[in-house]
Amino acid sequence: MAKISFILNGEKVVAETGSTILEAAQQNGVEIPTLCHDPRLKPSAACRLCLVEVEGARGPMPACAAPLTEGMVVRTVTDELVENRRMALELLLSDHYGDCIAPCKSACPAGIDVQGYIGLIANGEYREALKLIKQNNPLPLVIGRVCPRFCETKCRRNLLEGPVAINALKRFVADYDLNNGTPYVPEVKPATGHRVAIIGGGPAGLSAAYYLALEGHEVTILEASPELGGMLRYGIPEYRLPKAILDKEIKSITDLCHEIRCDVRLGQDFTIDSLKSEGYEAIFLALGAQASQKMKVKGEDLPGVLSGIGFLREVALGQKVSPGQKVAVIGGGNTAIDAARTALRLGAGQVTVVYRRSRDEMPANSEEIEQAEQEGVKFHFLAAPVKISVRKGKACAMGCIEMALGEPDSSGRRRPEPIAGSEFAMDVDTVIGAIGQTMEASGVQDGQIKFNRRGYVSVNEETQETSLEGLFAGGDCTSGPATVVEAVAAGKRAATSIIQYLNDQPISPPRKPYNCSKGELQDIDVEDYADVQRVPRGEMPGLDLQARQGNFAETELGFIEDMARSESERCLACGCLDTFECKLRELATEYDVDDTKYSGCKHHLRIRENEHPYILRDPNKCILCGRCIRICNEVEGISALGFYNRGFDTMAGPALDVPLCETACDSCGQCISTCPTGALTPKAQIPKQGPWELETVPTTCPYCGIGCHLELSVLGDKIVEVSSPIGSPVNDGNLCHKGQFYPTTLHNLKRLRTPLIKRDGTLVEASWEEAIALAGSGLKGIRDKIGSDGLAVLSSPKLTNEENYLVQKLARGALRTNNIGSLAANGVNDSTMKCLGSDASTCSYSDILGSDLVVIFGCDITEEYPIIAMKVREAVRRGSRLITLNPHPTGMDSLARIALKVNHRTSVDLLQAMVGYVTAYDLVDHDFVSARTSRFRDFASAMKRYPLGEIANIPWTRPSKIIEAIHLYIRARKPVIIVDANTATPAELALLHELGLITGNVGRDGAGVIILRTAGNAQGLIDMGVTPDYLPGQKPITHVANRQRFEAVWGKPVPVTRGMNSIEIIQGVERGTIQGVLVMGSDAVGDMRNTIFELPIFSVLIDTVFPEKPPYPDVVLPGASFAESDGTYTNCERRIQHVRRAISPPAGKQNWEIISALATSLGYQMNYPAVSDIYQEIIGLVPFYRITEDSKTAKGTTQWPLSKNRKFRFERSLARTNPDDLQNYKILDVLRSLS
Amino acid sequence: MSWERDKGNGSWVVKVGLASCGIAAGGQRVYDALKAGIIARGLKDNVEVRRTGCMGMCYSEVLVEVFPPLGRRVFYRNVTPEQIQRIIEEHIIGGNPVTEWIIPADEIDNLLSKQRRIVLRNCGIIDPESIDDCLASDGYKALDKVLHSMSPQVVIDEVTRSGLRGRGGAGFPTGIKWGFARKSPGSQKYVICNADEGDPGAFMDRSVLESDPHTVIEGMLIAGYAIGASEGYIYVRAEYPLAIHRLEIALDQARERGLIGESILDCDFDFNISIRQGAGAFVCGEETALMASIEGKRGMPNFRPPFPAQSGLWGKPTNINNVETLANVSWIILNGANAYNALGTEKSKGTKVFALAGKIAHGGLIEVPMGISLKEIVFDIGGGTSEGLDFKAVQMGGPSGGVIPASMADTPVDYDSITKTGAIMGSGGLIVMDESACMVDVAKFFLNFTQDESCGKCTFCRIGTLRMREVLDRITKGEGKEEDIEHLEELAQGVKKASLCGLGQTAPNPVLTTLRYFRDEYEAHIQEKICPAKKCEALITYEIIPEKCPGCGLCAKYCPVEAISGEKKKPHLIDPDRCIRCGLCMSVCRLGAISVH
Repeated sequence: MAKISFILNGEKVVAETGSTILEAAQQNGVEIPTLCHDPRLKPSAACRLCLVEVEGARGPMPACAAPLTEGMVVRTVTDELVENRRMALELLLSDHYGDCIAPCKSACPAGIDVQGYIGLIANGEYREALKLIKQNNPLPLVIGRVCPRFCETKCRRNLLEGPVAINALKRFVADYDLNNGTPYVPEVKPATGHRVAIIGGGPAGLSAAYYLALEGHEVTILEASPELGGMLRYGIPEYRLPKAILDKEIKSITDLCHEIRCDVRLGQDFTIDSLKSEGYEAIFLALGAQASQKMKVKGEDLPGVLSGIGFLREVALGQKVSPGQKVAVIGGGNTAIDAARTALRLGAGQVTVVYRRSRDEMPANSEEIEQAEQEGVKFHFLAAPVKISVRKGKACAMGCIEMALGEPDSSGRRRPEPIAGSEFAMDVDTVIGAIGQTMEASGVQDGQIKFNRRGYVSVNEETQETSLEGLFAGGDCTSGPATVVEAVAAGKRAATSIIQYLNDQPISPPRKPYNCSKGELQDIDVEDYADVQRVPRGEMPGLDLQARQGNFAETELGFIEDMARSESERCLACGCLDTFECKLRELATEYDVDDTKYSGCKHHLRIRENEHPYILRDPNKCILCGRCIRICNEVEGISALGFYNRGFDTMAGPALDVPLCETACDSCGQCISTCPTGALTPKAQIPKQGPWELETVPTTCPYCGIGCHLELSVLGDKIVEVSSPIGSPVNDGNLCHKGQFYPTTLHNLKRLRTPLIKRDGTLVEASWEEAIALAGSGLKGIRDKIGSDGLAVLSSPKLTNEENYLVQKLARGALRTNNIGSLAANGVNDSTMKCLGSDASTCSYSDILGSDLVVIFGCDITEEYPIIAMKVREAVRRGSRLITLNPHPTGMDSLARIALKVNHRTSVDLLQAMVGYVTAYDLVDHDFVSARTSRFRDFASAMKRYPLGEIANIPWTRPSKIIEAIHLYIRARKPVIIVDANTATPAELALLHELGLITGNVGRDGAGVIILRTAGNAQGLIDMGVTPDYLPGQKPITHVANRQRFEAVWGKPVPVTRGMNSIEIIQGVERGTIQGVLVMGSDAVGDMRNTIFELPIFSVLIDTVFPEKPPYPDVVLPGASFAESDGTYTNCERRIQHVRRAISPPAGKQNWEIISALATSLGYQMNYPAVSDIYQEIIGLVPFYRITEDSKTAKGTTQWPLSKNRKFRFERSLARTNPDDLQNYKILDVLRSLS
Repeated sequence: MSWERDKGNGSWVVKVGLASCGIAAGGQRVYDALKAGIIARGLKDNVEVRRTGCMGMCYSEVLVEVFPPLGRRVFYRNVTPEQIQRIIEEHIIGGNPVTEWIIPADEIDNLLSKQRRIVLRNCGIIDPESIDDCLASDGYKALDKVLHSMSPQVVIDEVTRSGLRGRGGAGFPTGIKWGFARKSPGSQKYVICNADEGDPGAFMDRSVLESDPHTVIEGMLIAGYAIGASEGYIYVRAEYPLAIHRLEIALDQARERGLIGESILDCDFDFNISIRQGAGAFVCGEETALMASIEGKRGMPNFRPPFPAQSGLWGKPTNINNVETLANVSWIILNGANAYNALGTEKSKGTKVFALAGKIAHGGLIEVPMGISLKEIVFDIGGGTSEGLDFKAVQMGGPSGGVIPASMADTPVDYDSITKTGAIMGSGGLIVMDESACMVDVAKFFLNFTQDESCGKCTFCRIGTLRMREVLDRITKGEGKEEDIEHLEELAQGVKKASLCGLGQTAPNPVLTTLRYFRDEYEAHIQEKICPAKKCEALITYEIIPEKCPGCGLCAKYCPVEAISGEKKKPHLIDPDRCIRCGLCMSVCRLGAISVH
């Protein structure tokens, strides 16, 4: 391709002629941002993000639409352009109504993907849910029990009947993982050799240790107490967090660590310097804040006065603590409640919490307060101790004073003020002061690091760096007493920074992605949820009060599976389904936008949830880029979508805003594939849709013979989404509704999960061994009784090449019969075979785009092969002409220069007239004919017997149109004929090829006949020898040499005689000559199925779905679908492409394994270690099936039989026109009468 | 002036202006009454009653022009059917014009002396529904000349030499545009006449089509011949039913006479013209959107290149000119490029038609030579402001244009000078504003228009103009913030620079020019919360001047919200909290006792 040179951002570069600036920049590795451009579409220049500077131009130019010219000087990034892009994005976002991420996720200090894991729970993917949680929280067992749940306060369900029980769900998956099978162990990266010391084994330290260890670093935890856990162990009582659970969670982290040192204290047993000299390159300080604050009350130091955490710690350490009968707890936080409930459990008769404010101001969790109340804790609000006095060395009376609430203080809470003269006294045995904690900083050397005003370690709050290089700090020792989840978050932040530090990277916090939000709860219109079914919040099962008395058994019991599933269903899934792919969000992040800058009125529209079975439209997220409209019109040729209204109220959608399903929409999903935001998303066929960052598996579409490239997004054993990468050679990212949506319904089918055998007319479950043995012995019995010819095999074009190869190998080698065919696909077509020496297309799909004439014969490609229709449409747009010959009007006719009506009764007449016209007027390409074909002379003279007749007499067609069509075809440089093998008769196929051959239009670069086939691997099926008369590679079975080659590899004789084809097999079954049949599932349909299974013959079925109703086969073996199989498919242009297993076969075996086992049971050992070994055997016998590059993308596929110069290679080196057959074709009466 | 040529066949000729302006004022009833009156008096053979188009003096409609066989012709203004009898009796029969109904001669002189009517040469003179009338006025003579004596290239050269620039607004040289279309390869080419006049206040194209459709058709034929096209479309908005009606008549007549169709005037030139009606979307005046609309798609602009001359209608080379441009063509061919380029300034040749509207005494359709000053247009031709208030500014170019303050009234009307002011020549809307116009409100009005008319395709125009309007809204409501002006300018610059088509690129112009010349008004709204022009409802209060109020109670009676109270014969009071600032009190008070500030 010719190149032109230009200056791109100051550098002289070249690009292909005809490129736009955007394409030219791309060719040189420079990405220009755009939202409205899709390479499959004509440029639109609507979003204005791709504006670039071109020297000499009047203003900025849209790179997507502006053509590149020689010597152009282009700048893609300037301050002005960046400002412009930011403004465009800010304007777009000023009218964007949606939540990029759910409010629960943004509320979580640790940023846990709450919506993500709840969705996974709803789908039963507990392990995946746990993995997702652990990405941000290594302590789900703990936090699932003790978290104050910032998330739940923001849950939109608060607007309905109460928030989703998020934390209970987290605890559920953590508990489930612990109690069901092997607990999850994350993957650890290879050791780096870097050493990190963590001072403090509380939640912050443990969290940092986890993420550092996963990275392959050598982690040592140093802990002052006898055991790890910090406040989790010594501050939270057993009844809330059992130590056994804590131990397991801690062990899951310490298992990843290098060393744990307990009972070592900073400043006493080691110092920061000593750790450095030990070789620790980075240190994380997570000391916590465990010193209790003084009440500053007279008598505080008396023996009967304890600190809250001191008291809890002693209990945790197992020391005998008896608080006496009357206990007063001072304070209103969680520690106060914990102390009170603990005192109660230790036998105190009366426990009173004395708090200086009112209940509303209490910082403790409301559920904790409620539970304390239920258990019998008393509360005395608006009171504070002033003095504690002594009796017998123990506290005996506490003087208090009543308080009143005054003006709000700096914390925003109303300040308590003593009421003069309101003093009163309380009788007590023990006073527990729990008014707050602080940090014990004595271990840190003076002046080594900076402290903040409040006395905590001073850090950069985004990176946890301290003032000392290599020293990081986090958790309570930097923030003051806070929650476990905040400590965990700090630990992860520190780990991220330490990892950067160890890798000598600059320490920088991860970039905060842009997140659009619908606002706080009060900003939301409850009407939006009018259709949501009201379901009460799942209640946490708990020990009843009696059971709690006098013991420390865990009070909350956790959700059981059913509860978790139904609670997870309550999630409103607020976060956008497109979060991880949204181009708008990506660019908004990149350009650091402020979405409030141009705020003004915003559209708030109804989400179109139920207006299409597969497509969900959220117009609030539409940015009017018009891609959906254009792809529907330009690529699909449908125009189900359009713009309506004007100005700010311009909308994209169906005309008159009718539901999408009431338009001409053919559910291809192309609009979804091109939508850059979450305005159009697929409706997944699962209980809850993500969004998740899912693994994708590249494979090939099985639903027709086109062979589109698919990428399956997999969640556990379900395919939840399908996409196709732009640029893939077959379909360039385009899909039809089958490819786009069918795979996502696979898991909803009634799949077979176990082998079945027929007993007393019904099917009963059986083991694999039993079923295969029965199948083997049954078939063998018939072979031995009436001979091989009494057996037959019906295979399927849905199977891979490897599977079909094995099936025919089983038939020929084990059953010793050539009775093999398929009911769902044609065998080798004799007439094509006679002409070309093989039965395959003579040019490729891409030739359609390069053609100057397309002839569509006898198929409605818009219905049957939409991807081909797209290519034809594009070809016509590029200037190619189109001729259609069809029995009925089709969607392509409007584009056609000539549309002729022709059906099977008139087609032969018409084609013969055309061939006759070409020979009669000597429009033959003689050079081509003599060089590349044989028997033309005979053909021409045979043709003379049918001298050019009265073309005029062919019904429904005007002769001038026929002649014009012939001339168009002859004049065309690169004409492509498209024909459907499933509908074309042998005569039609022969005449089309002969017309091509004599005019030199078959076997040339870019010209030929494309034979389409409706079934996924129909070409592969005939190439793999699933035919009675050809061996794999379309080798005639009648040739001794062919048979010998196969016999040498197979070690078995190949049956000599031609077998029965599928129709003959059915007839054989009816006549009783066939007594045993092996059927590959999906093939046996309707009447034929009944015929086979009804008659008293022995039948074995390998199928994917449960046989709905009788008659049943004798043995049913559960097979695998395409998504569960590895192997290759061959498409209609004979491109050999990979099929890859995305999910596990429900019954555990791939088809090739089943066939191998069956062959083995028939006495023919098939021991393939892997499917690739079958492929190796195939390419040994059929060399053209070798895929030249084995990359993971479709780009590495191989197409045969185009030679290097893109010329079709005829099998016998010469193509042949077949004069003998001419007489067999139905001949135009007029022609005959004139001869 | 060739207005005299209708005279002299010995009988009276009476013409009624029946373009939309005349019909709207009741012209058809006047015309019918006139015909009936003439028949009734048995004057049918002596008096010829004729229909004609727009005479230009729209402020005086219904206009009746009376040509006596001898003596001076006169114009009657604001004629009602009831007046007809007296005109017939006294003037036609009695020979004495009804002087109190006649437009004084000096008024007509003022109106005409500074005009130069080329485009409007037949308007108000010929019967637009009669091709014979047109042919008698040299109609299709230029076509004949072109087909028989000029090669396409010579035609293009002549038009190029004339200096004619596109009158749609952008001012691209017409001859050069034709040259591009001619050079573009392709056997099928199109000529489009853009009659999608959408500017608020503009009615030039409508008037021309209603008054002289053949001249436009002739221009299209010549353009078609020059570029090698065989098909033409007139894209006209459906809101112009009379223009469409008269175009249809004209096309039929031209077809009948062999002026449209195959082998036109027996030459090897085929050309067909069809009318395409637009649904009145402003953006369809933009050529790519216009073509999309003709193709049956939603009228949305596309990026150029490719320009229409390379790939236009249905991907074929297409030449688009507006009505006024095409109406100039035949005159240029007949009178020569030199006669045309003798008029005007160095870079702006010929004449320009304006629709003079707003607070102007003599509003109507005028045609002036390029280079004339705005002052001359407003004061000499237009007779100054209409309500006695001071002249404040003109708004030129519609929503794409801008305001030019009175202080710059010496600006000559030519493309470059007008562009320098921040306004644009535009297609010819010229709105005169007096002191009662609030410039923030004016900017808001135009922005409102462009926002409503935005096709929605590109981000800046669709959302940016709305955000600008919201700021203006805020300001006129007295809720403006200190930083709003800067915010507005930033948005305006962004929208101007980054929008896809002319609509968006020029939408900020009214804001930018008002900010440039009347920034103090913006600041008064924002800082002092007052509207100096006393226009913005939220910022004004109505008060009764006690000294002037006799307590008649009329205002209180009319007040729709009962905000006015007071005892009989004592000064009344307006409750400012109740007052909705409708101004009704002020308009009903006969004593000027109500003030607004």
